Amino acid sequence: MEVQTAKRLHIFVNGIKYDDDRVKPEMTGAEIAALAEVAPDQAVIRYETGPHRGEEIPVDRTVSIHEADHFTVTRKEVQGGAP
Amino acid sequence: MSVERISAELALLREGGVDAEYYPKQSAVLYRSVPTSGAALSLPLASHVAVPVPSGYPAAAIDLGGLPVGSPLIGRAKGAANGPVITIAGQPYQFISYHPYQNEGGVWDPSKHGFHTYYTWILAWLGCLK
Repeated sequence: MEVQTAKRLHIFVNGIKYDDDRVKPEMTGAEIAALAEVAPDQAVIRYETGPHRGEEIPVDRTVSIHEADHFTVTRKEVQGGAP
Repeated sequence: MSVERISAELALLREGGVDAEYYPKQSAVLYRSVPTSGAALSLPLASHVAVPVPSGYPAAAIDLGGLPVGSPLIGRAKGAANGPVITIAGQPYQFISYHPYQNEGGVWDPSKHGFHTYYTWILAWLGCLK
């Protein structure tokens, strides 16, 4: 009997490949942000490639994930600091 | 400091299309063409960013971001000029006081953080131009 192993879905977030159990066919913006360790209340998530390139994904929106999709996750604000 | 470790971290980013290179002589990593939020501010849409390898890395957290001397992003990216200027491939870079693991809420864990994850902090920094 031939045993077939399903190929793991993978995506890239801020240049890093993720292919673990957190990557699913459908993900919320918050779940994508979590891969980059950015809290949902701070996260700005965008498609980096594809037909939706540059489009922002709200943290509570669920989107379809395709193989090798690229996303960027940034923050709403940073503080900077004194020298 | 582990040259092999830094090389492995940057290889992870390159797989995702990020152009980053380690310069051992300067003890710094250069992220090339990092996107910015400059479009609405008539500022550059991308910039190279130099980041020093801290003494004692990886036990010590990565810190700072360096912009090309003369860049219009200096003064528009959060933080003030901080520390020496280093030159990479003929381009001097001024370090700016951006401290993800002091002021931004980051908690450094050398077992999972490195120059690959610091790219997320650099993206956030240049994504919040003022």
